[in-house]
Amino acid sequence: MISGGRRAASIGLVLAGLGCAPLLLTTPRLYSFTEVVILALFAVSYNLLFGYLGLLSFGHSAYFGLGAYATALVLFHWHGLPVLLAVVLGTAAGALGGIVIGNFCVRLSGPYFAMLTLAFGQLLFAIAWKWRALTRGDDGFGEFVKHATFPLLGTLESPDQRALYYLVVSVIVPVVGGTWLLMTRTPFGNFVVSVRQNEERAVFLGYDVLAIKLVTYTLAAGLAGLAGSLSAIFHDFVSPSAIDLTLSTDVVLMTFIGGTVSFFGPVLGAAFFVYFSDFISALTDRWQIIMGVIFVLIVLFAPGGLVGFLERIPKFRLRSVRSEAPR
Amino acid sequence: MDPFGVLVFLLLGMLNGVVYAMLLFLLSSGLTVVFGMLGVLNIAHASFYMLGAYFAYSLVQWTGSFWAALLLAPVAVGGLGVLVERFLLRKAHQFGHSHELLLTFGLAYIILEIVKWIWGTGSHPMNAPVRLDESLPILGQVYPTYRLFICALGLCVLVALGLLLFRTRLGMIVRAAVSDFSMVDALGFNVRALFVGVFGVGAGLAGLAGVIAAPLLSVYPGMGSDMLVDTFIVVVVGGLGSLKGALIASFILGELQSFGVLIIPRLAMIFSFLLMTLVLIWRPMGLFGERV
Amino acid sequence: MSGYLRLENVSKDFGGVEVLRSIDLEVAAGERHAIIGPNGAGKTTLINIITGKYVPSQGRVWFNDVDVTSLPPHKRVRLGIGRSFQIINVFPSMTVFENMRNAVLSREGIRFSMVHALDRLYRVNAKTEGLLELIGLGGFRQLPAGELSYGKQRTLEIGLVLGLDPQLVILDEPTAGISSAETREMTLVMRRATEGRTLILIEHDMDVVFSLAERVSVLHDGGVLAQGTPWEIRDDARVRDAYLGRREGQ
Repeated sequence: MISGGRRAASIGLVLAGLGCAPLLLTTPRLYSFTEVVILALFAVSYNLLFGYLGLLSFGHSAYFGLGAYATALVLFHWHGLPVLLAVVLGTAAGALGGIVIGNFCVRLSGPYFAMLTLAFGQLLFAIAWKWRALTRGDDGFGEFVKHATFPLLGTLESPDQRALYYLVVSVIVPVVGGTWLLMTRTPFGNFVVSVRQNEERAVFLGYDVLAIKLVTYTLAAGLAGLAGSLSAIFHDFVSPSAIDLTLSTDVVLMTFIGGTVSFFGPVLGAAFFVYFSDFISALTDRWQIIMGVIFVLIVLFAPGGLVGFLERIPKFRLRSVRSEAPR
Repeated sequence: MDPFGVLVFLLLGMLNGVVYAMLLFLLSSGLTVVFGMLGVLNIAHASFYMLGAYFAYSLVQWTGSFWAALLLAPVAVGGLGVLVERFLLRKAHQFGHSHELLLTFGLAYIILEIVKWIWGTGSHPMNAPVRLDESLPILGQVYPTYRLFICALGLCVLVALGLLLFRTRLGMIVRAAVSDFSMVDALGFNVRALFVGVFGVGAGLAGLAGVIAAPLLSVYPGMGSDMLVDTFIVVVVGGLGSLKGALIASFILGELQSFGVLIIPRLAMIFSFLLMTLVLIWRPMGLFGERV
Repeated sequence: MSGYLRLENVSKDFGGVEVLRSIDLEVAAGERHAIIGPNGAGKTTLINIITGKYVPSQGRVWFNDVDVTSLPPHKRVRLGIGRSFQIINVFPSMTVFENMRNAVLSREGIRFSMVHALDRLYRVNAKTEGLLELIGLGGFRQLPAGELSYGKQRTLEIGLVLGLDPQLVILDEPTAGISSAETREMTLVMRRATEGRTLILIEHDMDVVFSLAERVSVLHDGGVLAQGTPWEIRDDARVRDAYLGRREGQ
């Protein structure tokens, strides 16, 4: 565990870095970095299901997509809408999807859960693809950010990447921080970890395990919706790629590679995923194969992911979810 | 439309359903037996299906013979299955079922990308073998001979599997292992070999399904994931571990798909989807499954 | 505060195999009741029905005159039924302190809270400390529960039940697998800890039964063979026969 003073200093450093990034990074680098931040939130939300509850979902992009489409549609049709309100609506869309779908899914476990989440994900993808009247289907649509009202800035004539970056970061950082506090410092988080360790005992201590699973699932869905919402705004575009199987599988990869035993593992995973794929794409077209091989190697030989490696160095020991490798 | 015409229409619709059901059965039989015995849901199963199709495509390119492909591609895929079980799955087993699931997922991902790399991302249509590339007149309509071939082949495989499982000693051991694996282990049977064998045969069946499907559906990278959900639905509805359940559920789904397209053309999948959800809620062990 | 349990004509079969036949059982408030019987008699199934893991095929379960037959397990815990497990069932990677605190949090009704800070729940933490002292594990509070010795894990297992402050305590073979010295210690802990509460004890060790129980029910072949004080049961020929495998009348 990093000591209090050291930790405060590290946090301060990270926040300062995030604040200065637009000044230090070139535009394409800033673009990648913002993507990492968004995907980091998405992966953290995914890990609430996998690392914290042991539930392997293959349809998590459904909520990312719900958030993206909800925000895009709302901004497209209501001009002048405050952008933060659009973000809240996107988050709510994701959460709503989570309650509805989660209600069926959390009663199951293991492979059944995986199958049902996959099925729901495919269903929502098919709807997004085919309901052209609403979503423009395969083509997607864009140019809705120019209608939004930003705090302090009014409307933006053309997408200002720095403004969008600050929007993304100023929302995601507190949200991730708050979620971290929730999972590590509150009875709720304690409850979730307990269920992971020994579900039967939790039941016989009086805990309503089904309820906690549903709440956590909804939380994960809402956070994914938030990520999707910000993504739609940042790219000023939305298409079925925000809700497709590729995105669902990508988040599994990056979360697991980063390390599911720690809250921040997925953040590392998201960064790795984006930067490593950028790096490898310069060398070969088929970076996915390499990413897949890395994933399989980690599954077989290093189930703790990248965080697992780092934890061996005492300086970097992060606070872990108190559980072993997922079972 | 006169009553006779309606009848013919319905019959041909049912026949289409049977064709799809055969495909589903070939795919789901391997998946359900592997799950029943090993406890692993093999996500890469659909990848084996896809590889069977791609192998067949290439074999036809090289040799010009569909029949050679029909024979060799499933064997190749089965061999790959054996390697996967022996070297990868067994290693992941020590970490638990979630890990095995993740491994099969990673494998599916890699196989998909490799296929895209070698054969490209486009779709490759494949022709049925010359003698089957016609239509037979049935009750005043014409029906593609190839589809009838699929039904016939599916039936043969079904009978062969049935004989193997219910009339041979090996089959009895496999059935016992699906029902209670630890007992079979305790009785001294070589469960390692059993695992590898079952997994390999399952993969081979999936590969066979791929070969058969190729002339019907074309060969394209998404073909695995397109079948994945339906295969899962069959396995869930039929009951994980139950071959009989897989058969019956395949037929249910096949007919549902065939007629569902008539009712809601663009979102026919919703019927099979609803079926799966209902089963998972009310009878999670499926129609014939033994464990949940 | 009572802790009165009544089973009325409870039967349970699993897919045609009858495990419990027409069980009638009454445990008065504050009573210390032992349930013994050969393996396979249905003792654990009975406990599972009382605690809610299973629903009986027939019959009803009453707790404090409330019909709890179909009530899910976690709700029964909240009504005041606490159970320990035959096979150790703690939270292995959490510390002994955290394990106990889980029980206390549940008791205090602070399970779900997203707004409290665990470290600041002074009353909960103090109570947890107190309970650990009571069962003699205070010195081990920072140790992951999975690293305790078997005997101490068993003690924690019982301690968790106490943390719930239940009216009815059900202990399922609490001394299984521990040495006789530890058994004596454990018996003291159990007696101290279950004062004023109703106790149902499943045991094979007759010394423990004699130490703790006022009344004993003998379960055999899914039915209640005999009931009485420990001494009456010890001298009962039918009970001896049941354990030795002889049929009645031989």
